[in-house]
Amino acid sequence: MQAEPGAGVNFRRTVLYQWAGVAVFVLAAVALAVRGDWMWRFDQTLYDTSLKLWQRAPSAEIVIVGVDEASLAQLGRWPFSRALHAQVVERLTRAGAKAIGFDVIFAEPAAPADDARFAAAIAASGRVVLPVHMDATMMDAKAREIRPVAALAAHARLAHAHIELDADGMARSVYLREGAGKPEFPHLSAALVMTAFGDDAPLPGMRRPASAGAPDPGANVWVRDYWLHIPFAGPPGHFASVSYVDVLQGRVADAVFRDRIVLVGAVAPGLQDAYPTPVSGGARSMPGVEISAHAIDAIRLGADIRPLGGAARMALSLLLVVPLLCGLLWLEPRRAFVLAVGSSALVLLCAVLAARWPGLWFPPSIPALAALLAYPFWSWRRLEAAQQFLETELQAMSGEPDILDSPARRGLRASLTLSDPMERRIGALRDASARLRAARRFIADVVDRLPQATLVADAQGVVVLGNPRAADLCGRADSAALRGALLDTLLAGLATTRGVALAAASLQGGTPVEATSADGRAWLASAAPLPDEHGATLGSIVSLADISELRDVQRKREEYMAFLSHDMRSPQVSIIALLELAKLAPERAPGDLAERIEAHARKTLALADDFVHLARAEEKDPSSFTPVDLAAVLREAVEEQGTLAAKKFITIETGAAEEGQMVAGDRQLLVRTVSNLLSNAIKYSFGGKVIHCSVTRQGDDSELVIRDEGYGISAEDLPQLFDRFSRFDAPGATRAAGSGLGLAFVKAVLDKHDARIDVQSELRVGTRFCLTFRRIAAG
Amino acid sequence: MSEAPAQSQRTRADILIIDDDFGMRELLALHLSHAGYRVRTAEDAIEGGKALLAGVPDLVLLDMRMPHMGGDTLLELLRADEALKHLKIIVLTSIRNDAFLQKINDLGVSGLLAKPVDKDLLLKSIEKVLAG
Repeated sequence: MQAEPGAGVNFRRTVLYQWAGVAVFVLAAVALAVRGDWMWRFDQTLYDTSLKLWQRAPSAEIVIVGVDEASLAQLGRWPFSRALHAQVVERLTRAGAKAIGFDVIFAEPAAPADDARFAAAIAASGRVVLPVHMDATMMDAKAREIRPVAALAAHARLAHAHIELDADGMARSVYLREGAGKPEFPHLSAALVMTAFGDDAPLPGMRRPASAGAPDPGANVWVRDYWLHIPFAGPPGHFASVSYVDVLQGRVADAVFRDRIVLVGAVAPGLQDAYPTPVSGGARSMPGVEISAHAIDAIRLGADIRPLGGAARMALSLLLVVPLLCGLLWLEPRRAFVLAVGSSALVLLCAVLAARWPGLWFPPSIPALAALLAYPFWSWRRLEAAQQFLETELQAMSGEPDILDSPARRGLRASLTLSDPMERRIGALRDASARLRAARRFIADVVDRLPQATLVADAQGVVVLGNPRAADLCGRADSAALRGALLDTLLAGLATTRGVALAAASLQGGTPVEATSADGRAWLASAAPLPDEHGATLGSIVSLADISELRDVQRKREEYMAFLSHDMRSPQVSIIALLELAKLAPERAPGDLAERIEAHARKTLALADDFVHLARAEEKDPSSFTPVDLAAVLREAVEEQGTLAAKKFITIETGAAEEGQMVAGDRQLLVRTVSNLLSNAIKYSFGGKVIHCSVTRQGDDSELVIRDEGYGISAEDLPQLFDRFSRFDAPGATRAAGSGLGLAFVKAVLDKHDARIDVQSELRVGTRFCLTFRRIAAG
Repeated sequence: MSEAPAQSQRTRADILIIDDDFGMRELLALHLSHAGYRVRTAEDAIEGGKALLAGVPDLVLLDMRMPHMGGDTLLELLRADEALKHLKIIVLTSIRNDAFLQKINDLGVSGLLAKPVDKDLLLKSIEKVLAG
């Protein structure tokens, strides 16, 4: 059965609508999720993972002087005396440190002597950076910075040491410039780089958006710029670090600090100056001073991770989902699944890789999750559409008239009343397929039983169905062997009346074409196109009707006509010629004119008689047959031909005639048949010979044999022996008069009696006719 | 019927009649000899062949249905012979079978006359064929 093209279009349209719905929903959900950053935590986890993956060797330019547990144990309570800091600065300066940064707030004055000493050391060094501190309580309102005490600040470069903490409390970034009203303070890290390598060192990090407006120095708003997402070089303790107390007490070689940027800050856990970072992992946190060291490293390398934000992130998120949605529509479910999972994983992987190179962070969780969820969502919608379509189609199918009121059909009706929709659909589908199979079987059966050889071909002329008669005609083993063959190849075995091979194209006109098969049978071939409901041609049905019998009847009629036109007229023509001759030139007329005319007249009469006998024999109805004894038939025929035989001194021998060989037949016709054969035997025998006749039982059959010792019949004449109106001349025989209808009559009678006639003949030896009848029980 | 003007020409024409029917053969011969033709007769195809060997006539009147060998077979043999290919032949037959007549025509005959033969039609046809 061919699917309706209209239904297919409908289904495609339904699926397209469903897909459009799914696409809009998924894109809207992605947009909303990106806008609300619903997956922030998961994205941050990925970000941290990415940072942990990309570690690098610690920079040799940086050394940390840490106030560790040992320093606290030996030097006492924190904060240390600023005299100690002064000694450290002096030592570091002497050792040739390029820059010295303190991650320690010196907002309050200490002992004046200590402050003075420290201030002197700072001044002497000229490479010290001290942090300012923002009043946290005033953030974003009346912001102000709290500077180191004036004496210290006087010769130091001021910086801020703020570390940006994300919503999850993680330290991932710093602003390289901050300040109240304007971002005048560089971050400790930036300040150290400037001190070491000059003020014009370029700063990485995200610039303050222009939309935030120009900084207003008078506004006292805390302004931040150069937002650096630190690409951490490694876990805590990654950079070279020495103990504060060891430096103070000269246990560290000067070479450690030469040409280095030195950071001084608290590293002891007890000092509370530590933050969780992406790279610290577990319960460990990273001291602020170390975070600054990572920032310095980033500035020196120009490394940065720029988060993709706002419109760019939204656009990319949506854009990543679009090819997936297209793939869902066009790919088969298995491939679509692979695409969904694959693209989800790919987005995550690419995001992790991009954080390293080119240092771009795109939060991938939302598009990745959308890819994963779109697949089941789409599958559900598509399944729903398919089921609805299926149900509609099945219901439409159940409404169609059905020539086969099959069990399958009754099952279909029953299944449509089931309550569970899924069960109903499955049931309906099963029934429909059963019905389809039944319909196919029915069509095949119908084609098989068609009385004509029938071939069904598709639009390309390839046979899709054929019946056994067609297989037989085309010389194939069975109808299955026809399938897949080209129509023209199969028809090529038939020749049209014009002598060319029959072709499917010659049948397209709708006019039946007459053709002959190799075995001589005549066929009437015709083709009918197979249109679909829109009139397009799906293929054609070629039917070949065997018209051999029809042609036989036609030929017989033509033979009768020829017979009447020639054979019957011929003696009359001869008579007229004789009479005319006698009239015009009596002296040239033969002496036996009357005898000649009589012979011609008798010949005409005999012809007319034979013709009538033949016609009667051919019309005889076998249902009127009665039991006839073959031996009696033979006797009667011999009696009829006795006189003729006696004239030629021919003996007819009937010694071997068994009585009681009964056959169903017409006694008169049979006697005439045997009589004809005897008459022929006498006619075509030399005088004085014997004709042997017998009737014998042969199993279930009875045989009647007539054997003469006459001229015999040549092998080439034997096949035409029983043809109507054939008359041939035996070599050396005196010309025997005959209509040519005698043996045709014999054949017609025997055909009516379902009997067989076999002829054996040898020239100058004789001819043997054997008639085989099916015997019936005597009674 | 006036026969005199073409008498001299006719006497030259030699016509062979091949027909197995005695009456027909004699009647045709009578008509033709009266019309001034030289006439030979043969009662079957074999006799006809002998007559042709003895001398090629100007025209053959050939019957179709004859014993031993039909006129159609003889016609085929004559047409296959290089020397007799263009021999003028008028076929005499009472056969009305279209296929048979077509076959005879295809072998190339000068005319077809139906039996029984009308004398005037016979003479007119012969005259025409001999002139052509």
